[in-house]
Amino acid sequence: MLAGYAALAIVIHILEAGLPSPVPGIKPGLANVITLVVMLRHGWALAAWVVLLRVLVSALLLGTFMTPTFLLSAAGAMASLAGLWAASALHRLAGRPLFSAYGLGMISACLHISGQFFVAWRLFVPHPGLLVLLPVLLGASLLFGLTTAWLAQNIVSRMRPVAAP
Amino acid sequence: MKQTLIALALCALLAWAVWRQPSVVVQHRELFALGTLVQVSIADPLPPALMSEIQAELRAFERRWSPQGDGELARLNQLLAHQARAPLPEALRAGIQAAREACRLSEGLFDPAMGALVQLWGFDDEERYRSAPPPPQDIRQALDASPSLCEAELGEDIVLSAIGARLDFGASAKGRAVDDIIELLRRHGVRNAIVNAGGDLRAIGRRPERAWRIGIRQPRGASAQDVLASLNVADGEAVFSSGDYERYFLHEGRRYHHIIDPRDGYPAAGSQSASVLHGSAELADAAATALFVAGPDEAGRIMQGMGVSHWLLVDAQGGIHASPAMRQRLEGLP
Amino acid sequence: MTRADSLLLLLLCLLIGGLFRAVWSGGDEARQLQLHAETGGRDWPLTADRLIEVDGPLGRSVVEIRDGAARFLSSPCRQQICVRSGWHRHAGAVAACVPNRISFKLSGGAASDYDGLSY
Repeated sequence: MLAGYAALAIVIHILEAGLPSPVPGIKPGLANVITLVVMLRHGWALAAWVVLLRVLVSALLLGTFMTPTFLLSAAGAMASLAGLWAASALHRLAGRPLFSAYGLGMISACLHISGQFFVAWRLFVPHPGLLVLLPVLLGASLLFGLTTAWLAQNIVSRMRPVAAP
Repeated sequence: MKQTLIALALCALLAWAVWRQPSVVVQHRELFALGTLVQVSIADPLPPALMSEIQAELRAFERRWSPQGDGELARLNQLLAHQARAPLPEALRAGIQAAREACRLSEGLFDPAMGALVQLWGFDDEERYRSAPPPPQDIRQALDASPSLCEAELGEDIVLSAIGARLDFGASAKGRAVDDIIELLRRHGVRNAIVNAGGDLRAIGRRPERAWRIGIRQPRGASAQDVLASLNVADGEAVFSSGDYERYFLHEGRRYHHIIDPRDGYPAAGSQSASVLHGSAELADAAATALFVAGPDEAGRIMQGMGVSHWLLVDAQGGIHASPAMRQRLEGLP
Repeated sequence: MTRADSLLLLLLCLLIGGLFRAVWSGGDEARQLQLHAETGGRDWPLTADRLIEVDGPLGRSVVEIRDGAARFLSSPCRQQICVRSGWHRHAGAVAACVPNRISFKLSGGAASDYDGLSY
C-alpha cells in the first residue's frame, strides 16, 4: 500500500516537473495531495515515508539526484514534514484533530516553500534582494496549500474507510 | 469550501490593510532665500503657485530687512550712520520693537545694534569672509561705536544713544521670516508642514501617521547628520539652533565663529550649540542667539528672563545642559 | 475548516502582509539625486559612483556620489559650508552651496528618521 501511494506521488511529481511554471520555484505541488491523503488516513509516519520515497525516487528518475534541485526539494520536504509532525503531535496532545486537511495543507505548503527559499537564499543566491520574493512565494504557497487540501479532502471523503487493524 | 473562500477573502483584506502605506506623501520643496536653503515640507495637497508665492514673499522680506542695499533697513542704516535719530519705517516697526524687547529681556546678549561688529567679522558676506580675526583695535573701535538697541527709543522715530549705529537683524530675521511663511501657508489652507530655513524651523500640524520628528544636530559629530537628541514637535512649535560648526574659520588652531558676544566683541566662548523650542520663531531665533552667548552659567537666568522654558545647550567642553521641561521633551539625550 | 485552521489562515495572512510591508517598503523606488542649478538641473541615480561637475555664478562645484551617498566634494565659495556638510544618504536629505546657487536633494530608498534637523 505504501508502494502504491509512493508510486502515485512519484508519477504526479514527475509529470508536474515537466510542466513549465510561470515563476521559477513556484509549482502547485500536486504530489502533496497524496501526502495529505496519507496523513489524513494513516498518520504522519506513513506520510513521511511517502514523501521521502517520492523525493528520492523522483530525483533518481529525473537524474537530479545530488544536484542543487535535489537539495531544494529535500529541504522543502524536510521542513514540510517537520511541520506536519508538529501538527500531529499537537493533535495527540489535544486528544483530537485540531487541524483539518486545510490546516495541514497550509502548514505543509508554506513550510515547503520556506524550506526551499532558505536553502536557496543561504546556499545559492545570498543576495538580500531575494527577500522580496519571499512574501510572494508564501502567498502563492498558501493558495496552493488550500487547493491541494481541498483536493485531498474530496479524495478522502470518496474513499472507503480505513480498514480497522 | 465556501467557508474557506470567505476566510481567505477576509484574510486577504486584512493583509492588504496591514501592507498599505499611508497614502499622503510628504512633499519637499527647496528654494534659496535668507542666505540659506529654505526647505518646505508639506503633508497636505500642495496648492498651485504656493512655492512661487513663498519665493516672492521671501524676496520682499530680504529686501526689507537687509542691512545694505535699497530696502527700508538699508536706508535707515544710511541715516543712522550720520545721526542718532531717524524716522522709524512702518514696515520695520513691529520687528524692531520685538527685537528691542528681546534685547532687554536677554540683558543685552541679543543685540541687533552691533551691525558694525558683524560686518567687521565678515560672516555676513561671502566677499568679506575672513581667515584671521580682525585686529583688536578694530574690534574695540566697532564695539565703542555700537550703541545698544536695548536703550533705543522707539516712537515715530528711532533714537539711539550714539551716532554711527548699524542695525543688523541677522540673529532674529530668519525667525520672523519663518513666522511669515507659516502664516502664508495657513492662509493657503495648509495645516501640516515644516518650514526649515537652514536648520531653523517651525512646524504646523503633523504627518498623517505620527507627529513631526525633529533631530537636533551634534555640534561635534562625525557627520552633519549626527543627531544629539530628537523630539516630536507639536502644532506651531519652532526649534531654532545656534552653533559654532557651520559658519566659522580656524586660525592658529582656534575656532572663530559667527555668534559675537556684544560685551567684548569676540565670538562667544562658552558654547558649541544652543537650541530653543518655542511657539514663536522670531523669539526662538533671538533666544537661541542669547542662549549661546550666555553659556552654561547664565543660561537658566537669561532664558527665564526671555520667557523660554525649553532650551538645550552644549557647552564648550561638550557638556549638555537643558531645562527640565526640555529634557522631558527630548529623546535620546545622553 | 476548523477553528484552528481559520486561526492559522489568519496568522499566515498577517505574516505575509507584514513581510510584504517590511520587504517592499521603499525598496522598489530608484534612489536618485536631484541636482538643481541655475543653469539647469537633472537627476542622477545614486547607484553608480560618479563625480558631477556643475557650474554656478561663482564657478564650478563638484558633487560626488559614492556608495549610495552624495556630498559636495569641492566648491568655489569661500566659507565652504556646503563641503563641510559632508555625506548625505537618506531620502529627503538636502545640501546646498548657497553662494553658487547649487543644491541637491536625495529621493527614494530609506527615509531619515527625522522630518527635519535643527542646527
